[in-house]
Amino acid sequence: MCGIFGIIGDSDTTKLLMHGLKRMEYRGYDSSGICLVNGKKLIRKRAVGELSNLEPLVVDLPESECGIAHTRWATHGAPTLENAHPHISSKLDVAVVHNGIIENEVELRRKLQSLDKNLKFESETDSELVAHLFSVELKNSGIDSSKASEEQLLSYWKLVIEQLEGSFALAVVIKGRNDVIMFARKFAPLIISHDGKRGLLASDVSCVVGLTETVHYLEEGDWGIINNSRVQIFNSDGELVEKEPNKLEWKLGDAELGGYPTFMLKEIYEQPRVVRDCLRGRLSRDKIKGVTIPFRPRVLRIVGCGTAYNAGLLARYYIEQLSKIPVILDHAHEFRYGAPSGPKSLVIGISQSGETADTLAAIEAAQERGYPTLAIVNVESSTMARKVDEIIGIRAGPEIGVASTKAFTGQVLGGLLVAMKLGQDSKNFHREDLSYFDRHARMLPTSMERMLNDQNIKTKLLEAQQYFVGKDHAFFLGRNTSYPIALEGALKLKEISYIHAEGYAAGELKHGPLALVEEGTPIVVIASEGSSHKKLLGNAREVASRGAKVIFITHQEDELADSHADLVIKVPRTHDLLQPLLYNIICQLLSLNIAEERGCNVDRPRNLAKSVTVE
Amino acid sequence: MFQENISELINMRAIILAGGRGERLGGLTDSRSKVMLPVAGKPMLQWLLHELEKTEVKEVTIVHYYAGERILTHFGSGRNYDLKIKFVKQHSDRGTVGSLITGLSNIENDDEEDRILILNGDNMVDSKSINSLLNIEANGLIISEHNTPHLFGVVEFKGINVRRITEKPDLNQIKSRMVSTGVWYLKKEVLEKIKLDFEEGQTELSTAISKQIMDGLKVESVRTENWHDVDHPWDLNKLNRYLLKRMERSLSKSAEIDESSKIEGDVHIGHGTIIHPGCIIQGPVHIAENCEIGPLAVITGSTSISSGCRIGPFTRIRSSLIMRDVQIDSNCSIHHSIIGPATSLKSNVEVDAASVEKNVRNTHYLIRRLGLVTGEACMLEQGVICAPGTMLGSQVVVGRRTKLDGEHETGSRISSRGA
Repeated sequence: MCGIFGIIGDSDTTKLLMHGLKRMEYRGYDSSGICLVNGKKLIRKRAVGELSNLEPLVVDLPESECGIAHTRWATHGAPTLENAHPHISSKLDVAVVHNGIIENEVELRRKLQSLDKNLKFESETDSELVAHLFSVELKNSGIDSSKASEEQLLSYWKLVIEQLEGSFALAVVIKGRNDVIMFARKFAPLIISHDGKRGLLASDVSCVVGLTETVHYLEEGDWGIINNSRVQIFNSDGELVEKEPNKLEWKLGDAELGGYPTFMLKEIYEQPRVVRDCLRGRLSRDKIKGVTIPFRPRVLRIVGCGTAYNAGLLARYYIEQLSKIPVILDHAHEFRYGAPSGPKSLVIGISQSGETADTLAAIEAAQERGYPTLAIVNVESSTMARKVDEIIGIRAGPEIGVASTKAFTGQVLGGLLVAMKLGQDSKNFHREDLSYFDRHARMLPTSMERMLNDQNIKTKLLEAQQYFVGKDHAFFLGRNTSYPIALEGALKLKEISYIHAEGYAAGELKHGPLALVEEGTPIVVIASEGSSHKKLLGNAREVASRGAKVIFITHQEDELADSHADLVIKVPRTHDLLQPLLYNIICQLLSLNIAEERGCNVDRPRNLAKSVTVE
Repeated sequence: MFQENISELINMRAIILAGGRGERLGGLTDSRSKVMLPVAGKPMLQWLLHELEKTEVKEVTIVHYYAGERILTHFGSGRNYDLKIKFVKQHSDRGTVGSLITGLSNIENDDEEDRILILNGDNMVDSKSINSLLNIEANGLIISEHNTPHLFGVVEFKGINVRRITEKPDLNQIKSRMVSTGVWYLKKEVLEKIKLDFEEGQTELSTAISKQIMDGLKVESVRTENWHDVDHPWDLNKLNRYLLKRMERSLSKSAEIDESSKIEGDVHIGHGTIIHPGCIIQGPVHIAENCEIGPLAVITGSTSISSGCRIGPFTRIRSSLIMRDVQIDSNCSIHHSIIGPATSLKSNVEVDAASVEKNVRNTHYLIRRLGLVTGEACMLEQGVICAPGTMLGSQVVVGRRTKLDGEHETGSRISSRGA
């Protein structure tokens, strides 16, 4: 999905651009590039693959006070050099960086071709068209762009933006103008900061943290111009926007490894803190505070993608158990194809970044149908957070690893808070239940810390790893509240080790998937409570009899598991509602170890990017 | 650009050895190493870094091993300090020298004249003493007088220079009351020799340097009055008291303190903490963030309460160290105790504190006053009575009205009469 970055008013432009790209690399690492305005020329350097491939190319670039940069996650057009941003017009007078998808690219391409039959497109991308369009507007104006006033430039820029359909965050520089950067935002996130001397614009806060303390989050349809003394933001109606900037939530240290070898490991170890932060001020002995649900819904709808969907599935079990309200869970991108659920429906969107295009679209569709909406998000300044009626911030801090870890824990807790709030209101979940839960929830961070440092568990994980050596397929099984953990465990393994893992409700196996089990197939079974636990033990036996190597994840007081699996990993016992979170940590660590053994880059898995802002 | 410390001339560098677990602290070090245990509101290692900030040291390399992630997560990228901080993981547990070598391999030590400051993460020493050490001519060691020197490395002198260090000598062989604090300032050549001896199996730093001293190495001694070594749980309380003495009164604006509660003396109350009506808090007391105290609770003298704790009505706490997420219900009496994180004390738990004798690894200790020590996540039911010096591992469950004494290992379940 890409990240764009622009700087104006600083002499260290190249260095800062590269720094920012490094921070944003998790948004896409198929290719990268920068473009500087230097005298009468635009100097552009691009490279395929990781950012380190671009570094040698920018070593001796001349000084510049104005530049833009891009890191790409290829959607339209292969990850080649020609398709890398920044893109430049044929007259070499306009360069653009773009995050998003221009949906009417076919007609725009045709239009440009009809205006100039000799026009040659350098790439297969939709983004390149923007450079050509602006170049054409400047040419048609008859004005020398190196002398044009800002008002004039703005008027031509507006003409370009109006022709674009789809999603975009754009930054554009003009030959001979080291004093301006044009920008625009539609659906793809864009933030701007200016301190009176230096202006910054970026797709992502991680780029600018450490460079500024305050930022403007552009709204839908905002566009404008940034120069070295100020920024002018206009809204979709063409009116000047006067808004106070927001203080940055992030600190520089949040976006750094800080001694850890990978962000994923760092974020796994942050989970005890996330539990404390997420529950603070919300959970008490007698009631749930700080969680506002506008009315008692007749039916709840949850939408999410990937890990957020899995968290939503666990939330569904909690909400239905504790409040007896039925929940319909949808993958966000499928939500629009379903039937309306009638009055008194509440739609909950779950998204770490709050910018996930599919989930945003589902929330919009929900709002169009008149449903009140609630978001469980990590980034509280995000588009989704500002769109919905109520938010529950999970307070997990920035998540840089592409595979989500701590956000899942936060999202599950968010869902649990909703469940308990609804349960209390409906008198299904009583004060004693809450008090009992509260006592265990306060012990949960320590249980996690004990687990994360347990030598026994570390040894067992190393053993478990061996079962996956040379294997291309694996299964994760669960029941009831451990079923979502099975899905999440399989997703994690898939994402970062590229082993084809699938999660199943254990009861499903014999209805088809069992045919895939052969001698040596690694199968992770995740314990549940009550009657479903006994059934899982049976399932473990079932697959073992087909030759599978079974790893059973359960708690310390389980005495039955040892005789039902090849390897049993035991975690501390906690409240039934919280137990799945501890099992999930084992799955996270297992996947991490297996992926690293295979030499995979766990923070930046192939073909993926963080915060998918395209549909 | 970003906030970076650039040292122009001599880069004063320090290595902090923070790889050990601290086994003698029992359950308290189950999920974190000794250096991360909280005293007076901050982990020990953080106090040490604050002292180093006040010295001429510019760069610090922290070598971790056991539960290193806890250290990394707490300190983040180390940007909040007026020091350049690097974290390095030891490859394996190979003694204090192994730790040191890992640290050295991460430092560019080109200049022959450059010296490196070496400290132990679990030892508190003040900035004034460190600065004195940094100002000497060649190699140096900080020493301190101690009441029970035979428990440490006893130092013999030749003038101000160290003549010999004897680790844990026999009582009748003690030549002085001065002991080594383990804070060294050493030249490159000394470190090189230590590396060589390591290959021969010499893994203990004090012994390695002692050997060089016997072979003629000159090491000057610098004396400190403010050295604290933490090996046993009761040492934590002692250090807690010392650090609390230096604390100043500060009540967070976002704390909710009922006006009927009396907060006297040097008391710190962290943000988000609620002090219910009728409490008496007499400093020096440190209460961290997001706690709930009372109503009618009494917290006095040299007590630290970490974040997220709940202290119930009528409970009295004195001279104790309560770690995070602890819940103590009503009418409990806790003195001279150390309560590990996530431990739960139900109502009417009573702790007696008195002077106690302990035997740890063939060494005899006399502790002036000790109450209860628990590990992590223990649960004491209503009415439990603890004899002085009761020590519990982690996840110990004690049944209602049990009379508890002695030591109980992790995972024990005790009811009625304690062993």
